[in-house]
Amino acid sequence: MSAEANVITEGEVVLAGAGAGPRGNTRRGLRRFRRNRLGMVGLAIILFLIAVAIFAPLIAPYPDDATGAVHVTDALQGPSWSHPFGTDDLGADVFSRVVFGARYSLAVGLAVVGLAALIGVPLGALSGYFGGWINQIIMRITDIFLTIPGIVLALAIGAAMGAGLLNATIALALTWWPGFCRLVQGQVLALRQQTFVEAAKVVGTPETRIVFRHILPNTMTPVLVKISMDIGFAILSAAGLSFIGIGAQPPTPEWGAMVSLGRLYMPDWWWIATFPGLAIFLAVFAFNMLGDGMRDALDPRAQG
Amino acid sequence: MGRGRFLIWRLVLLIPTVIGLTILTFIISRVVPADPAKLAAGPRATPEMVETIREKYGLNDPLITQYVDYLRGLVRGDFGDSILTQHKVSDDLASRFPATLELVLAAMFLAVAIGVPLGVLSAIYQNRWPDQIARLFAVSFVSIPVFWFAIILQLALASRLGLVPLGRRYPTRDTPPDDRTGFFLIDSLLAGDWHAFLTSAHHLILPAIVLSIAPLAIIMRTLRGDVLEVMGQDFVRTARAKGLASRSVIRRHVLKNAFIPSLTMIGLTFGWTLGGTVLVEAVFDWPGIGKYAVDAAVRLDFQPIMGVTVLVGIAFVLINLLVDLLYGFLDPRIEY
Repeated sequence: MSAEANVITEGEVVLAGAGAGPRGNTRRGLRRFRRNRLGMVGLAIILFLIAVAIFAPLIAPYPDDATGAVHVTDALQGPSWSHPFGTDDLGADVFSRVVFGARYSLAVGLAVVGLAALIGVPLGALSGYFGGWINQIIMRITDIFLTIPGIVLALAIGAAMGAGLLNATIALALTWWPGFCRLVQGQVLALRQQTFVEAAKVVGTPETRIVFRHILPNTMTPVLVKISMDIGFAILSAAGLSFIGIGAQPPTPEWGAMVSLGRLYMPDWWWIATFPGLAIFLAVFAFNMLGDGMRDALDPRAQG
Repeated sequence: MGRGRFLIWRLVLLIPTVIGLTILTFIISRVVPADPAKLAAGPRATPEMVETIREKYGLNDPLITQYVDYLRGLVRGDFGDSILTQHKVSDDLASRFPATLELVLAAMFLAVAIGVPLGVLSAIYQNRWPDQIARLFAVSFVSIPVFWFAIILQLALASRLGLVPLGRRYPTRDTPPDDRTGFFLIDSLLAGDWHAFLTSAHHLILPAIVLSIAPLAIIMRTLRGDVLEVMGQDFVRTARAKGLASRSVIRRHVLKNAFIPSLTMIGLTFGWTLGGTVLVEAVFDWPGIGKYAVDAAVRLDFQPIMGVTVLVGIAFVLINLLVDLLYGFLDPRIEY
């Protein structure tokens, strides 16, 4: 297949590149990524957050506080050596809760984007490959979803399903998939004209096999870039929903819900809302840096 | 196709989009919930009240009949009643929407006024320190949880320093300017009341700044990209080659061409910012539709949420229509 990269136009090399020589291209991309300082910083922060999430029970000085233990006598204490981020209204250690919060935020971010990709990528591929009325129907549906700003649509779906972190995750995924659908549709539309697809057709490969074996793998680079970019925004949106009261419910140590609760204790007990908010910022910032770095390394045409 | 026919065609194309929007909101309010009647009646409703709602919305009818009824209601502006305010949702929306629109317009004004020049500067100084700093700020601005940023600025600038009010559109003890447009800044000017104008602006500034940071960052990045792309094109090279000063190349040749594609993004960010009010208004006690939706969400008051959803969706569609029209107006090369 590697000869095909020479046949197609210069602009499409990157697209077809994954199919032309997947390993070579990925390795080149990896090398470029490693030189991208901000991307590496993002990756380092994410690895750190993952470690925090996994080893939360070992890191948190008061693991019980994450699940709603009450110590009334310790309530509303400022940051100190024994409570680096202070304590909340129930006397729970804010640091321990923030540490456990990493689990929820990372899991929700991954789940939202993963589910969205799972819905959007195949629909986009079918739409782009078959065109015609299938394309029309799928694209009009994405149009409709895109007429409502994501956070409002998620709020409506979340409210209809009932508050809770799982429902909020599903609601967000349901608002998120059109982005993946459109991305893949555009990619597939461009790939459909390529020689290697025609070649596959000529030798009698079934159409679904062409879509899923030959075309889809070639769209994976932009999809991966989008996934890494979107996880951050999904974490942000999920925290927003929890802040509104549609997502995680107390005493779940979810960062958005913690900010929401902490707001009631502003300005005198500022630490309750401040530290979980910083954690959200750190996580979203890291995924954005990673996404930017990945895009620059894997998809050099799209400089931003 | 002439401009007039394009406009009509664009309006005709709106119809399926708006119908699609109503189907989506119908599905959310009638199909997604386990018991739509119970949801609409609210958490404290008695079985009799739930039954009344079921009757009123015909929830035992086939879905198609229900949808037609639902659509008929929407056309009449009937979004149901709010359990919380005891008003019709449509009345609540009408009285609150101007507050949201004023806030969003102020935020978008800031975002464009600051984001556009920053984006151009960033492109001109590509990969040098002004660009690096601007890009770092851009990534940070889209990463900050806006509701948290609102709380922190409120703490620092309002509570601690007392520079701006904690929240609200106007002091509770004073009467706001006569309601003509619902925009306090305009109403106070119409009334010739400088004090009211300054008071309104004073209340508006902090929420507007908070709401503006995400669109500011997005506009900056988009413009940077568009300017860089235009700067690489032949006619810019020609302009430079014939010896035009680089300032004048940027102003006369690059900016005009770079701004047009960015316009689409500005339109999209406008819609997202409208959605963002859901996260910001509650913090500042801003009496708009965002706070309305959040208050409703907390109390499981479902109809207002759907009302806000439909309203924001339609507003978003109209904004994008406006951008499309502006696009054709600014770029004479576009053939309708």
